[in-house]
Amino acid sequence: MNRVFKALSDPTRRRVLQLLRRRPLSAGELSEHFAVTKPTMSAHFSVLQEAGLIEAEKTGRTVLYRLKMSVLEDALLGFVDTLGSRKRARSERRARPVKENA
Amino acid sequence: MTVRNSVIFALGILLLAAATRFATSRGAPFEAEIARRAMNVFLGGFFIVTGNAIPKTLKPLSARCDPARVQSFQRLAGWTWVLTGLGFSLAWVFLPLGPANSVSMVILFAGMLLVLEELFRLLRSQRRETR
Repeated sequence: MNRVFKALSDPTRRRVLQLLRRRPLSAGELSEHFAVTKPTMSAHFSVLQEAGLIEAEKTGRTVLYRLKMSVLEDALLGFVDTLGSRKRARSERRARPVKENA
Repeated sequence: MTVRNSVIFALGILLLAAATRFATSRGAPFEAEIARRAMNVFLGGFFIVTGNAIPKTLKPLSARCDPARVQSFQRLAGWTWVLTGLGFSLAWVFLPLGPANSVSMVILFAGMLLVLEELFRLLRSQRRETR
């Protein structure tokens, strides 16, 4: 379970899982959504694979990633995401008056 | 769910039943109602554990079926089965015996129908794609 928490703690990895909720995607298709280098993206994929949240399958020349989350892990992702977006909104709200005063 | 887990669950149900019987024979203040409730709460737990594992059971991708559809079916089946189990257990915990029986059955059949309907839709779409 520790690996799952570690995997879900990063916003990029959470976004990857959200994208995979719609349909299985190739590494290239997933990388298009992020402004990070390929090695960084591969590191994220391997953390998710180690946690057992995604699975890679080779189809022809491409590697397709697909979701492998239990209902509990899926619910956990939703919960962490909600908490993360609330925290982000709160910090943005706090930062706004500072900018206005400056 | 693995065979090992299924056997553990089956043993759990048998042990629970045997323990209740033993306790009542020894004069424990158990009523048949409590034993029945406990068994059904345990059964609800079984549905929850089974449903939880459904989206994790992946099969190799096949050209015959759309992987997005299969994935969405598995997620829906998993969530439905977990919520069915939760509703089933809660009905047996909080409702009087009569209503608990009928409400839990309604919840169970509603969950089963929803999953079956979605399964038939998936199979129909697979057949259409292979033509």
